[in-house]
Amino acid sequence: MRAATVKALNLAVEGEGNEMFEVIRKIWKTGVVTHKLPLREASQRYRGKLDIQPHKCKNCGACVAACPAGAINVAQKGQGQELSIAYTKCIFCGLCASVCKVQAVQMTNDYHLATKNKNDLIQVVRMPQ
Amino acid sequence: MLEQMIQMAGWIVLQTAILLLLAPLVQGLIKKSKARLQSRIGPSILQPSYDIIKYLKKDAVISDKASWLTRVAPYIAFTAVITAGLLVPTFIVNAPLGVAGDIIMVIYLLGLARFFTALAALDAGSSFGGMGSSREMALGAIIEPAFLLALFTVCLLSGTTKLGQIVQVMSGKEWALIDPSYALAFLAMFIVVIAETGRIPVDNPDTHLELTMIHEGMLLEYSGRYLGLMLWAAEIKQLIMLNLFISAFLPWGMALDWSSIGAGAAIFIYGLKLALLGILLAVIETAYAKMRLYKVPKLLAASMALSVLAVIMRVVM
Amino acid sequence: MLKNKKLFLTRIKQQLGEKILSFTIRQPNETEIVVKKDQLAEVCRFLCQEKEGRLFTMVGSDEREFAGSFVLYYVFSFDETQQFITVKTMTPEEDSTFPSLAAEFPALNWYEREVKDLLGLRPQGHPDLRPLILHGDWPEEIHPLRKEFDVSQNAPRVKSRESFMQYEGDEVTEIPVGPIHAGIIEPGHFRFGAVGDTVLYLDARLFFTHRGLEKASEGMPLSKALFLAERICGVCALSHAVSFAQAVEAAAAVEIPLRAKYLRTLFLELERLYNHIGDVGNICAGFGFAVGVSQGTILREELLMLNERIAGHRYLRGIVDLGGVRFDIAHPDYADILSTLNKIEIGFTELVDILLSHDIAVDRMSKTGILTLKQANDLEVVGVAARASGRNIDIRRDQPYAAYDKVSFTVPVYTEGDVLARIRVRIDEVFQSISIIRQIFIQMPTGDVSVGLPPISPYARGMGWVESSKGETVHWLMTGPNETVERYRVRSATYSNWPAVALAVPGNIVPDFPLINKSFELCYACCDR
Ligand code: SF4
Ligand code: SF4
Repeated sequence: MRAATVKALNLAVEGEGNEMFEVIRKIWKTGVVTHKLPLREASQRYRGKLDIQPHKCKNCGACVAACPAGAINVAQKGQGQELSIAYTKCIFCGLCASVCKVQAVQMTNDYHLATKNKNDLIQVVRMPQ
Repeated sequence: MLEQMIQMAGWIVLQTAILLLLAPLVQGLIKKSKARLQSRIGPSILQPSYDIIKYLKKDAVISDKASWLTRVAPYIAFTAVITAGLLVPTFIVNAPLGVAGDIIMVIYLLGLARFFTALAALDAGSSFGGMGSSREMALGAIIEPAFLLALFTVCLLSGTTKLGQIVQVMSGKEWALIDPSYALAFLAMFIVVIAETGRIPVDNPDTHLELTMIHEGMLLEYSGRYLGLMLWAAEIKQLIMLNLFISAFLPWGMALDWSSIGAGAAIFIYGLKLALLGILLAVIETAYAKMRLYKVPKLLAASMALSVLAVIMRVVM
Repeated sequence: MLKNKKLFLTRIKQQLGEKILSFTIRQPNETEIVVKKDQLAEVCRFLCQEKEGRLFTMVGSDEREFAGSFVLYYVFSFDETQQFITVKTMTPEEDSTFPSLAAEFPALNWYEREVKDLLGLRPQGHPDLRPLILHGDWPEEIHPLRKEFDVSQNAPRVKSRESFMQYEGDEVTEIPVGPIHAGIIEPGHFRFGAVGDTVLYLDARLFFTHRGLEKASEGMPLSKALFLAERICGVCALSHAVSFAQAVEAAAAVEIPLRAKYLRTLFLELERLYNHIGDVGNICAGFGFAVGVSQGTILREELLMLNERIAGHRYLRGIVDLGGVRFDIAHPDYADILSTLNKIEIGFTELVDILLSHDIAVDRMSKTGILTLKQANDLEVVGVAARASGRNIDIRRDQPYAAYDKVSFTVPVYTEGDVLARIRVRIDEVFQSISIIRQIFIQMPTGDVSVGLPPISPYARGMGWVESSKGETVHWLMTGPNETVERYRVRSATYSNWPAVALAVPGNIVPDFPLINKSFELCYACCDR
């Protein structure tokens, strides 16, 4: 009778025991991987928001022509020119930065774009005469 | 007499409160442990409680094809489950309604809740509700006998079907409990607990795949406070299953009366047992995968076989 | 080899003899045969059955403006001699029909229905003419790929012409699922005809999010269309971009620098890695194996972060340029990639060991969702699903592009055709990819990473193909005046494989459908281009 019991118990537990142990060992080894906010800075090459330096710009229009999304615009505003970038359209391809000969537009690794107001996503820079 | 009645009423209120508040906590604990086992931080233990509060505050959208059944089913299921909960001891050897019913009663009250949930799922005529309830009823037809058999073994060991007395007999036995037939019944019951709480390998409580759902599939048509009630009832049912398991197999440390020291310690031990069981469920759920649907009956059949073996052993030895 | 090719082509020319109108060798690896409509079936049959060509893609194009008619191109690939043969046939506007071959070549079913929907040419004798790309509520007489269709035009909605398989018998229940699902999944509508929990028949309604990218690209400068191609799909962004770039380079007949080829290979393999590893984890969700899911996700995230560090984009966008790649990588990056890969290799091996020794998991996967070799061949299934059913094709080996002819790797083939075989193919390919990347770092020469493109003449054609993680992706391109796109046809791996799912599911139980579907890992976006 005893032997039968032991056998039945073995049957119920056996087979799964080994791999269960493996699984738990793996879990133990991994530990907790979630990161808590705030998140870290993006990597150096990450293509995020654009950095525009209006004083460098030669107003050649190369970036406007290159932009596949039509996100950059140069408009006449009163006396001067205004360069605007719509992050609502931008696909962060980085073409504008690579065509600008004088590096007036550069990509940064800043990815903080979330906002409650859509208008915040249009960045306007006034160019000096 | 009057004093007794007041005491009784107080006890009922206390136990109901325990069921209502503790059930989401146990769920939270299981979820948290599962998250940890999946290498995540996971939501707070209070999250299921917040969820229920949120659902109860919301309005419900109900299919215009649904009848009154959809509306009353959550209340019936909820009440049935709570009543069942009042029949099962928690930290003290007896349950408030212990005089009114026994183990069989508990099983049938849970069966009633299951029946109405399944019926309501069919009501709106969505195919997932239909699939969920047909699967639930098919499984229920096997889970219930397995459940009964496992408990009968315990009844046989203690010679009564009254839960309060079972606990007293069992905890009186001390180490004599370690007995082969008891161990078999223990395993059989554990399988039933997993099946009844809708956990892996029987059902997957986290699935978002309509086609694989069992219990979740039945709730798909519900929203707002009805959904809240249904989820709450499911959590309470889970707690009841754990309570049953504790009273039948881990009765040590339960308070015999209301003396303050004894009760305090008993509450602590009760909490500990629940937490350990919850974590155990989470570990099992993480380490296993969901079985193929048509293999689930085999698992439950294994549980029944264990029970039968236990009964035979009891009689022979 | 070269002689072989010549011989092969002359033989074909001789054997076809009178049946064809013209026979032109357009590019070293592409030959064009022009046939009359009524000879189409015979020529295709000859190429497929006697010469063992396989259907690569089929394109319908509106060339009335400059050629005076609609044109259909059937491209066949001959893997042994590394040749493509395009069968071209014309159909004038007055007689807007063409002979349907779908009954004989089931793989053509979707292509012909697509031509019917988008160009309004009727395939005659097609067994199933329900709408495919455009749904039933789109007016039957408006065909978006005809040049006169204006993209800004709003088509009126009409009463739906949708219909589904009808069932007879009381036992059969019809279970409609989707297009909106309980979880966050892309839209697809499935109808199961089931007896109890066993599926008898599956009808899938897809293309809910058809975006008309092919139409949108018409007239777009090639340099901008590259970004459009990159956005066809999220997880095969790079495969699509490389395919498009290769198509343009083929049209311009330029050879890109060797280093650029190696870099493309590197990034393509990185893309395959994160997809395959993520898929292995995701398949575990099909049977609720939480550890598999979480470990798979952790490894995938590790790779995505590597992508971001190396290329600036987690999903590898903005890397490819027409004529090469946009930037070079340096030694610190090599070290970063290699050390990350070593970590991934260890972690993935452990995950695989756990998964393949887990009884329930293996039980759930084996014998589930079997796709037979015959079915796979009939439907011209590609990629992982093909290799799991014993169809030994891998375009990286069969028609090498980028630097795949310079690295050595093996192509895993299993014959069971079930979920387990599909997951095994992925697992083997992960280790192959890691080995390919290691070889790249040993072999990669220094030098330029891009060349300028010469001016491309109008109406030049080019084809680009990539073995993405889901299978071969084919981009067929015809340029227009001033380096714009005239006609652009994307045939993703998913497009070839969707019909196979409907064959693999019947006979299984309904709750196994998500698992089977996941094991094919079909992407809706690739289809709904
Ligand atoms: S990053 Fe690309 S999309 Fe954005 S503004 Fe520059 S060119 Fe345009
Ligand atoms: S930002 Fe650069 S590319 Fe754009 S207009 Fe100014 S100088 Fe030209």
